[in-house]
Amino acid sequence: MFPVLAACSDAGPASPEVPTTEVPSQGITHGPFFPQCGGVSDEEMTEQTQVVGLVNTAQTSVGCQWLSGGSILGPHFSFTWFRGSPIGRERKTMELSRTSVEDISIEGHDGFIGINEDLATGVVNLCEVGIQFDDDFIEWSISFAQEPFPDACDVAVELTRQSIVNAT
Amino acid sequence: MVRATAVLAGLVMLTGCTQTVDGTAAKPGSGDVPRNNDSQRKYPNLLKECDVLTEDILAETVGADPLDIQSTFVGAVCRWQAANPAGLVDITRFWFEQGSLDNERKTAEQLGYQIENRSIAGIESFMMRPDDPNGACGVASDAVGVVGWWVNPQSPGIDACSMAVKLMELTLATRA
Repeated sequence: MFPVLAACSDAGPASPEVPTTEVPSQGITHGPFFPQCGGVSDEEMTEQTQVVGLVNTAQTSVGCQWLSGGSILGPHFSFTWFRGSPIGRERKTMELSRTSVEDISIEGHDGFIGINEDLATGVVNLCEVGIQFDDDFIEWSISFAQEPFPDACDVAVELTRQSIVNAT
Repeated sequence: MVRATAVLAGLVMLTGCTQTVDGTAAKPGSGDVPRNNDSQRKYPNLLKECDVLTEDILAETVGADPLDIQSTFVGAVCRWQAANPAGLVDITRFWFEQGSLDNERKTAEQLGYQIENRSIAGIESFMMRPDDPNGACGVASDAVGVVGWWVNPQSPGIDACSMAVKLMELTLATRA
């Protein structure tokens, strides 16, 4: 949910009258530094997902994406690092599009975990974990295509844990 | 769906005393916001997130057939893959409304990228190049927070930097 601009008086520290000016970086606190791909290697991705032939197709300043054979026709795995972007918006997007979204805490940091179930089989084929660090957040998205595959949330949670540990 | 999300956010704002829930609370003043109205007026193309440029235009810019492009991730970061005759090209767009060009530059430096400051459509920007044999190239611009594009070819011989700059020029166009 989005925090509201604070008309409520009993919500802990009084919310300051922050002017919503055109200087968006004012009052923003960024989280830690995450190394490229959250510090997760291609080998680790293969190990965790049990998908062979993964290609890291989009190594960028905002994350990495692994696709089977480099093609979108198959499973999708990605790490994404949002810097100065509300996690609440991402969570709301998930709540509108996925089967369910719940709270989760990993390595002492809070966020959400969302799943999608295959309508026909009821199998969870997608799991996304978002974890907040001040005004930043990271998200691991694990989307499998063809059974058999490991528990998508086990994979997402473990990779998130590794990324948090790798942060500096 | 992304646009629907923005509308919902607006509704929540109007309720005033809604409780913040679920451990995703941000700091006071750092939440979503009304200032987006200003940015929407200033950069009508910016707030449509993944739809800011049509897939036809994305495909054309990276030398792909308009039918050979597909989205793989949506939100404040969007990803696509398009098929250039020389090989597959991944495209990434990010827009961090509370981010800053300075923070993006600092991050790119920490990631060890080669950085080149420049102006794009009159807006302060920088190019970033990792040590990638296929010539991956990113660009970030100072625009109501920070907006960026990456072009990651899966094979060499594609001018990713000029494609990224072109995508940014289109994004920063001040007319919808």
